[in-house]
Amino acid sequence: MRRSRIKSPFINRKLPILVFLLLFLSLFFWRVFSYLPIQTDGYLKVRSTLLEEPKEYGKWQYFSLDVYRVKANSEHELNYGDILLIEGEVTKSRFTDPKIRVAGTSTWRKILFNIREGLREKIFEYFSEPQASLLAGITLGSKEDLPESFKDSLIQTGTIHVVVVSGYNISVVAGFLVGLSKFIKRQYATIFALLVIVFYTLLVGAEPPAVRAAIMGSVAFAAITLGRQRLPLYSLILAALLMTVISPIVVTEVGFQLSFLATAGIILFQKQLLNFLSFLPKPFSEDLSTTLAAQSLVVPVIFYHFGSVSAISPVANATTLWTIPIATVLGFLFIAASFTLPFFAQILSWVVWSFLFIFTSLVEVFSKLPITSFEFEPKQILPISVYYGVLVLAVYYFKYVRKAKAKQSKS
Amino acid sequence: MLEKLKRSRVKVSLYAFLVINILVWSFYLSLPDGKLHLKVLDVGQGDAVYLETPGGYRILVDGGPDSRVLKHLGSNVPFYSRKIDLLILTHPQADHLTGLVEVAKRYQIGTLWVSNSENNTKIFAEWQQVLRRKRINKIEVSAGDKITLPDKTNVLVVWPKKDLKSADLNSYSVVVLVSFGNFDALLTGDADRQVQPYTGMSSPVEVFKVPHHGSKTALNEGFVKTLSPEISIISVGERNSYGHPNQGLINFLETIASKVYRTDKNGTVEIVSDGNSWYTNSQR
Repeated sequence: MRRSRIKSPFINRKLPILVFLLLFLSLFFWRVFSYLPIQTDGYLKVRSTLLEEPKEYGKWQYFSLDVYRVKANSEHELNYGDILLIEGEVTKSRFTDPKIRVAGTSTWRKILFNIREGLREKIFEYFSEPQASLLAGITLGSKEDLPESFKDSLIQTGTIHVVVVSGYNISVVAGFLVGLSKFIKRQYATIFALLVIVFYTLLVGAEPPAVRAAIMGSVAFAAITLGRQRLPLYSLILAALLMTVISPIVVTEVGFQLSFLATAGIILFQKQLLNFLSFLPKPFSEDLSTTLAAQSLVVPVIFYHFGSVSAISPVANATTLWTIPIATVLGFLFIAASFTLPFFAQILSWVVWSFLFIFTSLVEVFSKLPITSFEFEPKQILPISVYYGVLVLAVYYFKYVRKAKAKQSKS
Repeated sequence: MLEKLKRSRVKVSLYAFLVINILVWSFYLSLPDGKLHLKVLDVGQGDAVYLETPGGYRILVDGGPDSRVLKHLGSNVPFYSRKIDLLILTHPQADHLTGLVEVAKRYQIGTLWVSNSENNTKIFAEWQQVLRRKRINKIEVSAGDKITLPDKTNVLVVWPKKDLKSADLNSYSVVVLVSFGNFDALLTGDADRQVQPYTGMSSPVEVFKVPHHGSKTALNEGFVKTLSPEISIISVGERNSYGHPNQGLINFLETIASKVYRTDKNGTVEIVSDGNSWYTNSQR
């Protein structure tokens, strides 16, 4: 009797999830590594929509198209939303001076872009750097304005994901809003969160990574409403798998990886972390547990892509990330107010500035600490595997072995 | 429900406490301290000098080669203000102008001083367009023009002379002498030795912003000897392709006992003066 009580919940409920997750993760990384080399060299033709404003340096202009970086002659008149036909030699995913033809324009993207530009100008009117570009990054997904020195600090402290990847923010903002079900019913909170996700996705330009993150986030958080424990995770995985099947290249996108892992982290660990952090005052443990849960799976992937790892990174993340959802939500309110109630917007901008100031100051302080950031070679698989291995073991230990021991000693 | 309400009330009041503290302290620390602060900003290969006068007026001379100047402004201009009282573009070359385009877009400009010069470049066209869109009036200044702020800080233009004709844009650089009490600082843009000595400049100065990033042709040695600057600051980018600053020029400045600071080695260099004495702070 006792045996079955210890074992059955594990075998019946959790083991399949773990096995499924592990299988999926291995599939996930296998795809990443088997897929990349095929696309990066040789003569290629690419047709895709330009989703950024090219940056011009003298004779050359630079931009990303699809999964490629392009160095093109400045004479080409290229704008956001143009549908480009590009043809030329590719080396290590880079086109250098390819043939370019503008095949048309995506009107709705251009409209979204112009709206976003208008909003961005409002932010810059009220905020100074680096808080301005940080806010533009988290609310509008525009990454191009970040001051270089601040960007370096973000990389050194392992907090760069906050601005560079819109997918991560979608997951966190949605998680934060679902968690807001304090005054209203959980169902309404979820509907509210879904609406915000749609709005947010449109705002950041509805770029494919953002759309994918939005789909995964919506599916997972909608499933939470149904109250079934395993459903959110399964639906998240299903959504991700479907997208991978439709276009295998998505697994190589940082945005896709981060938004999937952040959402999965929140679903898997948020409650447990909340219990674990019960020594903290409740309001803070709630926010902290959401950020930490999202972080738990995301961290190694950030290091994988951005290279350097500082020993300070976990501390930097734990102490700064709580400001981001607050700044994002209040940031939206500020943007809305800036068009209608300038006085209120001014006051609100100071409040938002305070939270951003906490974030930027802490990041600057942490980046200056003499704790060496060991320059990890980027793109290494071993540390990631070790991290996830240890994480799985730790979860297994805390959830089952310790519980089982406690129960045994009780009985 | 009540429990939840109480919990979030605690949270909101804690956040409010935090926000109010940050705002009050930032406000308090940003109040003018009755001293003149002059900062030669580390903006790479270009020029940008920021001044806060004893009464809290803000002056920016040039904006550097990119938007790095914005972060410097972010940490110098308090959060509640978006105003630059006096903006000076010494001459319209990219390493002095580029950063100002964003500055003009984002800040309210009180007065804008420029020299009588134009440049046929993309960035200059953008600058002109921003000035039109934001309705910023530019005032073309020449030697002898002057502004005295209510806190007794003087900004005197000593170059270019009226009706100057030259093929070299650098020669049109607006050169200003900023004075507060007995303290004088000469900010020179790229006005190098072919236009030195500047009009009416014959008395010594404490601080000398070396023209043209310390290039070989920056100094008329006889003129700089009469200035006998106590410190000379070279605004220059690390590993720049022009070979600035020139070693001979540095040696010369040292022989006239002028302490040399360079933004590539020292980072941003700040001079603080109460009108009688002064001291320097450098980032590195």
